[in-house]
Amino acid sequence: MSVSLAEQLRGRLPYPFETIAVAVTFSSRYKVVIKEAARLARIHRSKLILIYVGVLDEQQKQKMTRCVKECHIKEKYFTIISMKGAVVNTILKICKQNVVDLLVLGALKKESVIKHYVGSVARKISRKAKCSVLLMPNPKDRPQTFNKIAVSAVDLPKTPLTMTTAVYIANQENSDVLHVVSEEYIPMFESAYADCSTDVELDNRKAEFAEQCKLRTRKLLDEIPGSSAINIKKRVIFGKPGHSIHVFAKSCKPDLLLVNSPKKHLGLLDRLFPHDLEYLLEDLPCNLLIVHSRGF
Amino acid sequence: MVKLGHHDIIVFLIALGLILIIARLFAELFNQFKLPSVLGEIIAGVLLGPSVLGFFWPESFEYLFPFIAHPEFTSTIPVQYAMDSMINISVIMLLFVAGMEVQLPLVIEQGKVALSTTFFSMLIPIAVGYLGVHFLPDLFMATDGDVGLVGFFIGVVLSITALPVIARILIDMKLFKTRIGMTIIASAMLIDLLGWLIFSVLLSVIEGGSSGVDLTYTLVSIILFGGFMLTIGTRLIDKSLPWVQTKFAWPGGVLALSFGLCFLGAAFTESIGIHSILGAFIVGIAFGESANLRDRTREIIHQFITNVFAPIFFVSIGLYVNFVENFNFSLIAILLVLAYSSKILGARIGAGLGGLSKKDAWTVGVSMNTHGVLEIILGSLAMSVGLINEEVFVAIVVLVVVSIITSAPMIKRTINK
Repeated sequence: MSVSLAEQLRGRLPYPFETIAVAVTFSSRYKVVIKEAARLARIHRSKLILIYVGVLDEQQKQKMTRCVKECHIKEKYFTIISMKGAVVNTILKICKQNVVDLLVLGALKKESVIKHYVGSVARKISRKAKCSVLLMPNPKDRPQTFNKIAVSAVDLPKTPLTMTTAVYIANQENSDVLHVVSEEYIPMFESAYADCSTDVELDNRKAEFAEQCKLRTRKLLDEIPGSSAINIKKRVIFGKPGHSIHVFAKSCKPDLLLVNSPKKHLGLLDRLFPHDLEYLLEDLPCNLLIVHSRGF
Repeated sequence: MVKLGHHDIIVFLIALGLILIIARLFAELFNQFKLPSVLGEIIAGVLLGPSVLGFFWPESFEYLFPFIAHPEFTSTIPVQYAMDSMINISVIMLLFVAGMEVQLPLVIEQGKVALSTTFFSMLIPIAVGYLGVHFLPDLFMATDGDVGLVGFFIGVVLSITALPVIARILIDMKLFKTRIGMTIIASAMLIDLLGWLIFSVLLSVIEGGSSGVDLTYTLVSIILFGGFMLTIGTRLIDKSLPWVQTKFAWPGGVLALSFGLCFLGAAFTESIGIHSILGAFIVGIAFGESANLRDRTREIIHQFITNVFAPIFFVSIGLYVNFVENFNFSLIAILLVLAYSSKILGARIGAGLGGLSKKDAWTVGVSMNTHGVLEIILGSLAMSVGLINEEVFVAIVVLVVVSIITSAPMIKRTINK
C-alpha cells in the first residue's frame, strides 16, 4: 500500500537531511548558492535537487549540471526539476512532492522597506515552507564548514527538535562550538515589580528566571543523543524572542543560527508588529536555518 | 497672570513633600503584607484627607492643605492650579506607562483565544453595567438624560483588567508563560487598548457639546493618529532608540525623548477634542513596542513614574474625596456583584469558545476579574467631567481594592480545584 505524501511528511524528523533542494535563479550568485548546497549534500550524503521555476533550456541545464559536477557530486545523486508557475508556490510544491528535508536559498541580508512588507521570494518561502529552510545571505565560492553554530532555546514545544537538529548538524560538521541560547522574555516584568521591589529583589528574581532556563536547557541537552561529543556553551539572554537572538548573533557572529519555524502562518500584520522570526528575517545576521518540526 | 506667591510656594512644596513621603511609607507597609503600593497610597490619601485628618484634626488639615480645606479662598487658587497641573501630568504619565505595557505582537500571537476572551470579557460587563444603571438609575445617581452614558461608563470600568496586578500574580504563581497566562495577558492588553479608546470617545461625547468639536473629525483624527503611531511611529522610535541610547547621555537622553513624545502625543489628542490621556497611552504603546528599548531604561521609566507621579495622583484621590461621607454600602455591594459576575462569566465564555478547556477557561475568567489603577483613573476623570458623583467614585475605588485583595486567592483556588 502506498503512503500518501502528507503521511510521509507528518511526523518526519527534521533530520537527517536525506533530500536537500536548492532554488536556482541564474542570478549573479547562483553558482555559489549551488556550491553551498552541494557541500551540505556531500556532508549529509543527501540527494540534491536543483529547482528552477520556468522553462529550462538545454544550455541552462548544462550550466547547472556543470556547476554541481564541479562540486564532485555524481550525476546519479542530483536531479534538476523545472516547472512553470508562481515562484513561491511552485518551489513549495516541488519540495512537498519530493519530500525535501532542507531547502537552501540565497537571500539578501536586508531588503528595502517596501520589499520587506510585500515579501521577497526567500522570505515568503521561509514563512510558508513545510520543510526546514536555510537562508544564506553570504554564500561563499569556497564553502566552509559551520564551525560556530548557535541555536535558539526559547521555551516553546518545538525547541527540543530544533536543538536536536543543531546537535546533529554540529556533529556532522565537526563544529568547534555550539552556543545554546535561551531567550527569556517576561513582558510586564518591570511594571509588575516597579512599585515594590528593591534592586536586589529584582536582580534575584531575574537570576531565578535565568537559573530555571539553564536547568531546562540542561535537561533538554541531557536527553539529546550526541550532545556530549560537542563543545556546548549555554547562555541565557533577556529580551524579546527573535530580537534578542538577533542581537546575540550580530555580536557572536556564528556561521549558522538555528531557530524554530513559526508557530503559525506569518502575515503582513506580523511584519507590522514584528515578533520572533520576523526580527531575523528583517535583517539576516548570518546563515539562518529555520527548522520545521513537521507536526511533532 | 496668576503666579504662585511666596506663601503659596511653601504650601505647595509642603503638600508635595508630605504626599510623597507618607505615600511611600504606606506603600512600604502594604508591601510587607504583599499588597500593591497603590493600596497604601490611596489609604495615605484617605488618612491625610477630609475623611480622617480633616474630620478629627480639622485645624491640622487646614494648615497643611488649605487649598483643599478652603478652595473658595482666592489666595489659595494658584496652589490649586499648581496641584491640578501636577495631578494632570501624573495621570498622563501613568497612561504613558500603561501604554508601554501593551504589546500588540503578543496579542496577535495569541490569536483566536485572546480575541474571543477579549470580546466576551468586554461585551458582557459593558452590557451588565449598562443594564445595571438602566434598572437602578437612582443608586448610580444617573439623571434621565445621562443614564446611557453612565451605564456605558460603568460597563467599561467593569470590563477592564489590571495588567500589572495580574502579571505579578501570574509570575509569582509560575503561570505567566503557560497558555492560560499568555491568554490572560494578551486579552488584558487588548482590553486596555479598547477600553481607553471607548472611554476617550465617551469623554469627547460628554465634552463635545461644550467645546464644539465635531465628533466625526475627532474620530477620523484619532484613527489616523493611532494608525500612524502604531505603524510608522513605532518603527521610527524603534530605529532611533539605539542611536539615542548610545549617542545621548544615558538615561537622560532616552527619558527626555520618551516624556517629550508622551507630552506631544497628549497635546495632539487634546487639541483634536479627545482627552490628552489617549495620546499619552498611544505614544506609550509605540514606545514600549520597541525591541531596542533597553530593559534598564524601561525599568527606570517605570520606577520614576510609579514612585513619583503615581503617589501624587493616588494620594490626591483621598485628599479630594471624603471616603466616609460618600461610602454607600448598597451601591458598593451592587457594583461588586455586577463586576464579579459579569467579568468572570464573560472571560470564561470567551476563553471556552477560544478553545481552552473548561477548567482553564474558569481560571482565565477568575484571573481577568482583577481591577486596578486604570479603573481609578477612569473614575476620577469621569468624576471631573461630572459623569459620576463622589459616591460612585468611592464605590469604584472599593471595587478595585477588594478585587486586588481577592484575586490571588481566587486564582489559586480555581487552579487547585
